Amino acid sequence: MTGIDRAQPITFRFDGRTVQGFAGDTVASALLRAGQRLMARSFKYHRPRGVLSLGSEEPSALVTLGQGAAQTPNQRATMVELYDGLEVFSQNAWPSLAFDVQGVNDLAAPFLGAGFYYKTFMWPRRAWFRLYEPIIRRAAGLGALSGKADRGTDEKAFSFCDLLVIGAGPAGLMAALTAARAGADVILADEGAAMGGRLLYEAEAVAGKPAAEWVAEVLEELAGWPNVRLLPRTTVTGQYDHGTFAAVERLAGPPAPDRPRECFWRIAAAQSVLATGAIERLIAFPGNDRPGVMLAGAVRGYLHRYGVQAGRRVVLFANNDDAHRTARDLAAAGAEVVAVDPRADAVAQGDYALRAGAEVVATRGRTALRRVALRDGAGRVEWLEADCLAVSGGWNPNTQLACHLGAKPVWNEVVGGFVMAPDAVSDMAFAGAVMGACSTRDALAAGIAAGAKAARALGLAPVPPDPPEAEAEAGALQLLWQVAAPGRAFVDLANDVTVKDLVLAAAEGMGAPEHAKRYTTQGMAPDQGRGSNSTALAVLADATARALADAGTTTARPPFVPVSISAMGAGGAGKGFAPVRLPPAHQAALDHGAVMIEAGPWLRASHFLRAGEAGWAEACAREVGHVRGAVGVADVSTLSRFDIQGPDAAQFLTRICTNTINSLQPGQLRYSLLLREDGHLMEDGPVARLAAEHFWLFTSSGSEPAMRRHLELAAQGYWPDLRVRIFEATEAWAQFAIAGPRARDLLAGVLDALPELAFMRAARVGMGGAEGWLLRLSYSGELGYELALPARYGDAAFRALIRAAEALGGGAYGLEAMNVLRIEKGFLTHAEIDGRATADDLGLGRMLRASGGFIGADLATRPALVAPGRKQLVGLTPVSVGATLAAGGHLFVPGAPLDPENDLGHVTSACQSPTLGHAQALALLRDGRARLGETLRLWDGLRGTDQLVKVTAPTAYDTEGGRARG
Amino acid sequence: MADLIATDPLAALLPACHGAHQLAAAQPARITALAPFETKGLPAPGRSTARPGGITLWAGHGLWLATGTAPEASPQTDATDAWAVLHLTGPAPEAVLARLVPTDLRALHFRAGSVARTLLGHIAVLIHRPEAAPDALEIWLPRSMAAHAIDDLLGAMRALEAR
Repeated sequence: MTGIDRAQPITFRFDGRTVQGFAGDTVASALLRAGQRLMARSFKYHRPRGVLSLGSEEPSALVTLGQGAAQTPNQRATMVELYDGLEVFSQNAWPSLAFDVQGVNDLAAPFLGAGFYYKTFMWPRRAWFRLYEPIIRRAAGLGALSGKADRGTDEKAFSFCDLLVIGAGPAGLMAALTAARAGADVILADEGAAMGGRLLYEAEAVAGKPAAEWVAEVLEELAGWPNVRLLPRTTVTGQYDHGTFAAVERLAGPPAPDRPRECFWRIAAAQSVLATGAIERLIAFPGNDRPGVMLAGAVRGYLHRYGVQAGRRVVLFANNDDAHRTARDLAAAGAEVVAVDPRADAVAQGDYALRAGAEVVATRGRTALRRVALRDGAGRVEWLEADCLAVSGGWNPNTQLACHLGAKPVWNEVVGGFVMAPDAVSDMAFAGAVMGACSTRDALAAGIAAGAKAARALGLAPVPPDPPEAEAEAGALQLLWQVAAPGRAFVDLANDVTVKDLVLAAAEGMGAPEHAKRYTTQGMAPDQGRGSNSTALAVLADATARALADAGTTTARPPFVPVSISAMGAGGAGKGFAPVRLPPAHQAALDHGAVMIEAGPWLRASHFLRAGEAGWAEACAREVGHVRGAVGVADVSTLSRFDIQGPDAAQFLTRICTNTINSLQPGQLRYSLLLREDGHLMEDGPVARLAAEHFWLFTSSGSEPAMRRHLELAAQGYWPDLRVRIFEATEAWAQFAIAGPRARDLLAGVLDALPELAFMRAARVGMGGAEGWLLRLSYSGELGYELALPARYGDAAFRALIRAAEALGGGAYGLEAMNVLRIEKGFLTHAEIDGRATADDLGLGRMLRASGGFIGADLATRPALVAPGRKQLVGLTPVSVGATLAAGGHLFVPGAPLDPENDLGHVTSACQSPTLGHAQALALLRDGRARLGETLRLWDGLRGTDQLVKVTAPTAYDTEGGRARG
Repeated sequence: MADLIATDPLAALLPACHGAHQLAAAQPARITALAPFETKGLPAPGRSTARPGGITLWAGHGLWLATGTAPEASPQTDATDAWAVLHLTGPAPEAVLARLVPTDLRALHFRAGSVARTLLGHIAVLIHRPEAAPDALEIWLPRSMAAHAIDDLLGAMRALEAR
């Protein structure tokens, strides 16, 4: 029973050449069947490489998928499923895969040993960044990104379960089944396109039937349980605190609109079972990396699952009984097989030739294996013709996920690998090869035990099933890590690290595993050395005369397989970067020519462009004119509004604000300051007392999160005895500023009745059936009101207000005009309230009540905040007629050197004032109030401007304030 | 002056349907935010309860939202315009929300009458499984972010449909 469907041929292209495969094939299996053994060039030496394995551990057969913006590099040919029209390209080769110019690196290999970069490129020091690193980066490296913006989509998702079973081989399947039958909510994740693990790749029986059939039956039962979710094509990539796992799911098939390529899962599981099995390892012998050298289990797997015979003349080089199945199965399939086994007492398990007590010492063949040299126990060398060399040095259990939280695997001599001790990780059970249960029968039994253990931990009562009948032999093994013979024996194919590199590292004092890793780069490739780590540790142990069990391992960290950044950051591009908040009158503003800008999360009108206007400056000047000369209306719904209620609300606000709030009468407003605990100014805004126990506090747009935190800390933490409640009320209201000498005329026309309101007073009003509040305050310096209405009426109200304003010779105004109006008046924004300024710095010191008792009162009087030399708010006007001003420039005494110690301050806000007829700015200037009338040098290194300015009072227009109060 | 016309932030965007899932407006006529000093009789954290003429949802620390006639409780404030309420229905509304919401919404754990204060993408929302329609999930969004959230939700529905 193979896993491909020969009735469904699929055509794809490899380096432009059409290749035929079948449904169920991977790129690797289809290329192998088509006789394409050369698939890639290696990372460092550009050596020709074929496919080594059939899983996600593949170190060699890395390919690029797609072209242009869709180009995706470094995909494992063993994991990519075919679909019609798939475009596959080899990588790291120029001009072609078969003839790669940088293959000359291979000739220089004697000079490119471990630590080469550190030894060679140290001098001159500056050359590293400019010369060496760019050259090295160009020479080394794998596939490339296209440099074009990615147009594909990925997604992120969250999932929750009682039990996450990782790996759906014999152990994982039985664990999932046992727990599912007990009623646990189970997720079974496996990185293969089909579940079943090694059972899909072997010719063996489980429960008296072919293993793949048994797998299909178990999966059918699991799929029938409503409490089981199967996640094929999903690699669990990391384990994190509190039972959280990361997993990346590959979605099969051709790209389609809206369909993600990958889904990055975050899975929270109360319990987990790790059943990730093991991967086979190479033996380090000279020439063990040629195309045609493959892992023995992979050769078997390609035969049984994909119907691909990896060679006609096959040599098996293995130190264990399990691998002899490859010789047996390939011989049965018609290949000419010679098995080479270093064990003198090895016995053939089928109809193939056996060279017991022999080793492979060399191979030949440039882009494909042609010959293999054996050396028998007596030292005689024999050359064999071969197109496939199947190698097995034993199996490395996949313990990495268990180690992400700090647990260490332990050496197990019988398994010949590092395994996990039973309770090494809390709430995680181990099953199968990861805990040393390597035969199919042991794995099935361990799966049942792990599933039952997890179910019991969940408070369920599992009934463990009897293990199905299965093969009991794991196969004896005699450790063999490296063959002593001249030539380059590769340990880590992904990073081109040889035995010699590791021995050199040990000789140079880098023999500890973590040191050797960094010195040689072994285990630092995208596969994190899954296939090579134990071999490297064994070589190092040998070179440093230590026992392998004592030397320790390197640290496994997430992710277990490479995860594309686009999957981890899925949904974060474009509009997904931050939420957009639209005020209630957004559409009305757009319909009146508004040009929107981002103000925190909000979209707000920058200006309202009218026909014939060239740009923002012209529109802004007109809008300023509306407010100063007639009437303007602006949407200020985005201001943060807190609805504060309770018998102690006045007392609460008195402690929050620097001025006195409990003396406010219902219907009164007061402009207030809020300090941080450290005495600096945090926010300013009006407080309105709507009723005896009911207030509105307004703060700047987008400040809700920080202000809410501040207010709740005070209410819940500082003064829990105060009976006060805080509602966030921004969303419920639309609010509009109506400002200008004709504001009253406008309101008289639109309100049901215009109340007689003095400056800083508020009253209930009605407008066209809507009930709201009218507040008399001004941020423009003109006669001003703000009208608050329920948000649902915002759109209609803004349209009506704009119509009425236009009828009076005014119109809507946006943020640009608002900014000009307030700079002319010396009013503040967060350009001035920059977190370093005190109330006194900004000329508001008199608003700090002398009796104290408000947040920040004590620290506002500390010496550093009241000493001379602080930067104080001033106004600036240019000395030259017609000069412009911009924020960011720095102030100096004319003639003083442009040094930081002579820096007197900086421009915080600037505008071109149509009202004053010249540029006007606000600045924070050292001892500014003592410098009124001085001429200073304004230097702006960023914009390259340098000019003289005159220091003025912050308020440049209507200094008495009569217009707003009138 | 003529009567002002009320605008519904959902009207132009909903209902919408992708595959087997539907997203529709479910705006209550009136919503009152309650933060009373006396909380007896109000639903426990993470729960909603039915009242004659409406339901009350727990909505965060010391905060409840009541639909229909406002119950006797003080302090309270009208929050009708602050929230946009959506109904997500179909065979697996949890699977749609799994793309955006980092909270366990499995029916087993998030039973009918459950409320979660959580995130939908970047947006702080309430998710509610109504007693009256336990196969649906109700999403309470801040009005200003409704359009953004609906865009996210439709994207998640499309991605699920495209699988």
